[in-house]
Amino acid sequence: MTQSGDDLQTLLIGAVPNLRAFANSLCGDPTRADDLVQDTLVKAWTNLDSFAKDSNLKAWLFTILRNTYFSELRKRRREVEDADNALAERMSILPDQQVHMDLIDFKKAFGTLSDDQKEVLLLVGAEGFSYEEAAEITGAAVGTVKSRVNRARVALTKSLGLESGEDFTSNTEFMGLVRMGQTVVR
Amino acid sequence: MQPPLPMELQGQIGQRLREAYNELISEPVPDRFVQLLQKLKAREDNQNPDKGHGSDA
Repeated sequence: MTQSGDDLQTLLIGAVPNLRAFANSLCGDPTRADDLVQDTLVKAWTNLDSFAKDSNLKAWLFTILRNTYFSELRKRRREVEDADNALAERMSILPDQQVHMDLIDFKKAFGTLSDDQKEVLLLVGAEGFSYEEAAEITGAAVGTVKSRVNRARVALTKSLGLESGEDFTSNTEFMGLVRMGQTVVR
Repeated sequence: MQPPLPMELQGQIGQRLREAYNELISEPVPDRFVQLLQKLKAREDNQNPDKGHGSDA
């Protein structure tokens, strides 16, 4: 493993931007997010033996990070309550200010999701993991991941007011309901 | 069970999510992480001096 130490170092550094983005989106506190990333890197480095050679390093790192986050969260919840509001704040206080309104609204809406929903939406929607990979990372069933992602999307759609108006006319299920309604009226 | 969102809405949500997320990804990596990994590697090299850097020959 020492031989691949340089490679590993490069691979881990390469993963840091994604790990930080994930940690920040999840916990909403930049300082804590960086601590999470640091813990993740140390754990990954010291537990490399438990990493199966041909498996997905990035998925493994995300697994370590979210496990660390959720076990800390369980501890913290006993002491102080919160984390959820902080997240919305973090996602809206960003250094680069060419952020337009759409995005600010989106970050607020994202902050209102449950941790479970945030996590899977980030993994699938932002990181591009498959449902199967996301299931492995989170330790949940694939069906659970799918329904969490869907519920997260539906919740975002509602808080962003996207569902109103003609957007739904392309939805066959909705049109079916409309037709049923007409039949009943007659 | 919730019915899935229409594709068009899924697309809109996905696009905003990725925009927000990519903003975070594009933040520069703080030095502390580079230093941390150098430290981890140095510590390991010290623990296994005979296995260092492919010089097994």
